[in-house]
Amino acid sequence: MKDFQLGEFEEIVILTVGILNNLAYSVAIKDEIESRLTRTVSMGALHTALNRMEDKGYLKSYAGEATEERAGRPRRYFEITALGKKAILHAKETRDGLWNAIPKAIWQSSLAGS
Amino acid sequence: MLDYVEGDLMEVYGRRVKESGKRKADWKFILDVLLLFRPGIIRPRRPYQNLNTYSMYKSYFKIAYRVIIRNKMYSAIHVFGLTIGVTFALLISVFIYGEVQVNQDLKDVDQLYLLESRYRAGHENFEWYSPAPLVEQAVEKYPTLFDEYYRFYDRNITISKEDKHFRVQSMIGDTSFLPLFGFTVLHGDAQTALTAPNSIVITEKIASLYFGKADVEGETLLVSTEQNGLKEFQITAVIADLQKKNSVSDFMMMDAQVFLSFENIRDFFNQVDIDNWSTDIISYLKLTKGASRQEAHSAIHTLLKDHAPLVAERRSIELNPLQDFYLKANSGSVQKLVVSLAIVAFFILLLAIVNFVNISIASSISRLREVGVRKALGGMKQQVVIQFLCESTILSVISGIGALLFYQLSHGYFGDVLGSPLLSLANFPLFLWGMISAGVLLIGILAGLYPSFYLSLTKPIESLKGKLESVKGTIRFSRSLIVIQFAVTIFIFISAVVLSQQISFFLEKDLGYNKSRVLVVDSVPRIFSEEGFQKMESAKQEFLRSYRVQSASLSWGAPGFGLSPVDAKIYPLGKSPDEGIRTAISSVDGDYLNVFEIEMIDGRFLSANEAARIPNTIVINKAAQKAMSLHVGDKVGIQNFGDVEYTVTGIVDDFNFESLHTSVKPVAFMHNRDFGAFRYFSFKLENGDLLESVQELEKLWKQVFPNDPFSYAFADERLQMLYTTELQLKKGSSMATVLMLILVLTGVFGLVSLSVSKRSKEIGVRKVLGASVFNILALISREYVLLMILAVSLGAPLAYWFASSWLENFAFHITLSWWMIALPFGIVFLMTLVIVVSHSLRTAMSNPVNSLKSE
Repeated sequence: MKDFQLGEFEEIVILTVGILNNLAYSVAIKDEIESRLTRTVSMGALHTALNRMEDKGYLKSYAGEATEERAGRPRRYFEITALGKKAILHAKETRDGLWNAIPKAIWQSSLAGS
Repeated sequence: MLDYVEGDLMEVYGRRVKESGKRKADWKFILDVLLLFRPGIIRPRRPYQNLNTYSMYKSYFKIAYRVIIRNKMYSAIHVFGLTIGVTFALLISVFIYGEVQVNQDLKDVDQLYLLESRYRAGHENFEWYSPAPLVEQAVEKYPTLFDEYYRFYDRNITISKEDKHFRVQSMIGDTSFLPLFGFTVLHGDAQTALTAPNSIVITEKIASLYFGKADVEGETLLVSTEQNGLKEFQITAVIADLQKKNSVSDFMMMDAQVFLSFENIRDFFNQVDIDNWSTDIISYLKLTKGASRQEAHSAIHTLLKDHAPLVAERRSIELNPLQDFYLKANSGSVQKLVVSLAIVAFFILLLAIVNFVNISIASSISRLREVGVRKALGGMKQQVVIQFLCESTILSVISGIGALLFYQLSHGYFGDVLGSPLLSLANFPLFLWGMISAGVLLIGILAGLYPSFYLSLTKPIESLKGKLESVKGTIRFSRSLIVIQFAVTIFIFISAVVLSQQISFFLEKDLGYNKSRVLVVDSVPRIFSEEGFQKMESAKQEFLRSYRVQSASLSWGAPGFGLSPVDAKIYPLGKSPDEGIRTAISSVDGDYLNVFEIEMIDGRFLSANEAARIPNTIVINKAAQKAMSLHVGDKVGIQNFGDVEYTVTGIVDDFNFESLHTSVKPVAFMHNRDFGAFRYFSFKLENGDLLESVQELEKLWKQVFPNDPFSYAFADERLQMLYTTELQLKKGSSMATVLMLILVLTGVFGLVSLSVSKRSKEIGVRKVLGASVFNILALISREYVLLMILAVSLGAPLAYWFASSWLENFAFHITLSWWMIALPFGIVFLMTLVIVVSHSLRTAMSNPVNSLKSE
């Protein structure tokens, strides 16, 4: 975790960017997260997370087309950089490692207990 | 970023309007906008402005470094001058610090007082004597005012341990010695060390001299006493070596190393009655905490009046605080030395700072543009000032470090010159370090202050144009600084010349006797009985047998050792003693005249042949003869010498055994036997190797006096010691002169090279128009010649006045003559001219095309 700083919300955002592939821009990301995770995402939180990860070098952005529904403002599309991929992979691996390290008995006893 | 966020908001709003109507969408829009106010969005994560001005400070140092590196020569001159100034100032401050610290180590020094007698006219005596029972009575009668006292007599005694014999200065006094002054006791008990008879307290130095170790409590030493011969003393305490110059053990530079008890006073003095009010002794008094000096003073006065009205009539007793006694003794001679050294150090530092200011001003013209650009770009006045101050402070810190280095290298030598060892850097107390840091910073700021302020005040437009009008005022300022520099230098130079003239006059003056090849031994056993006299006379015959000894004489009084033990009034018979003339009574034997080759004017000297000697005869000098208009054959009486008639048998020419600060006093010679005491053996040595003669004499001495050390000095060397202060001053002032010359000349060098480089075009034009090389040299030197003439008209009268008032202090002195002022001025003048000419010569000779074609 030391090498790859990635918060919980940031992780969700970057994964969503990956899901949306070439269509990841702020509103699409917001809709995707809201629909998949059934939680509301504020515009401010999303922008902050995106900017932060761009600063870290996990994401890069480019200006997209200006559409009428956006009153002529361009979309800003995000894509994951190589470093970003490494970061999410790293996050996944560490999580998996932790998952695997939990003894099976826990699940059984907790199941039994519940 | 703003665009994208706006776009997002619009997009979401549009969608919401469709989904849930305008009203709701409006509210949600407002909420979204409000939620956007978060640090990650309205402010970038990295601050776009610095909240401090560190980078400006960095820039000050960076620019300062670049300027220093670019102008290597001027920076070197700056650093050189300041280093000299700071080194000298440092040496002198450390010396002054040491002098001020003297006596401060004594316990409760602010409560300690030394008693001083102020005698009424006609009753003059040693000023540090006071009636012996006075302090004892004071402590007894006024316990609220006085705490403790200490009295002592000093004696130079021979102490032996097996075959080790040394002559050591001792103090014989009260038991309160150790606890009162708080000297560090290494072994033994401070309270009881001097209570028992035959106990002796010694310093660590003496302990290692005799035993080679410090832990010698309980050991014994053999002391040869004047009254009771050899006696065994037991060491009861060993104390740490005492601080030099302290006003107790080093009172009047006696440097006492061993301390005895009053119990043993009769071993050294035949008839001393400590309880008698007419007995004189040196006394210290400790006042109680908070006791007023006024009250103490009046208490002592009352005591003296009650117990000894006769004594009180003839003198008053003053309390002299020990705290500043060392500085103020001898009518403040140390204080004067300290003050004059401080002034010299100040001048040298001033010269160095003036150099700095002058060269900074001169070279700042080239930085006028830089200041203009800075200001045009929004630099504040204050920032320009800081920039320049920063440069000067960096230079002064560099000089400070250099000065510390030089100090470490030279403090040994300066310590010798000043006659007191200076602290090594490693032993500096925190106080001095603080002073040094503060001083260096202050010098940096002072040196940079004027140039920085005047540069920062120029208007940006003028300075960008490089207009020189704005600099005119400062040129006048820097000229007046140069005049001050020259004036100070010439003043010190003249003083140094007068000083060294006066001192060589001292050392070469005909003193009325021959002091060369005279060896004086001061460790003669002091046995004043008939037996002792006979021993001395036979010893003298022994010495005379050596072919290296021309003549020998036993006396009390030798050049540089003091002329005589007592002053007494000599009066013509039949008159009252009070009408007599104060005369120094010197005790000698018949060969005295041969040893010192004093001229006989009339009559005969005392007989050298003991059998043919007529008792109670005296020989007087010309000063005494004139004062009393006595003649050979006259009979006189001597006050305090009993009811004996003395016959004047001869008159000798005046001679000067003491320093030439004082004029020749009336002197009367009396035979040792009549006088009853002696101190020195003086030997006139034959021509030949002096060292061998001394060794030969030492061998002989060991045979004749096996139990006494051979401690000697040559009369001429000993006489030089009388002029120690003057010799120190001479060395100090010549050193100061050299330093000042160096400083002034480097300053001139810097200024000339600057003005030559600035005026190279002007010189080119002049040459094209037909000016000769000489014209151009004259043009550049004219300014300095005028300044120097102005300076000498300021400095010379001051130096003349100062030197003549200094010479007034001496009974014998040189007269000031014109060359003593002309010579220093001439030297300064020539050296300056040489520097100016040599430096401008290259420019003056160069082809004008070169300077004119470059733009």
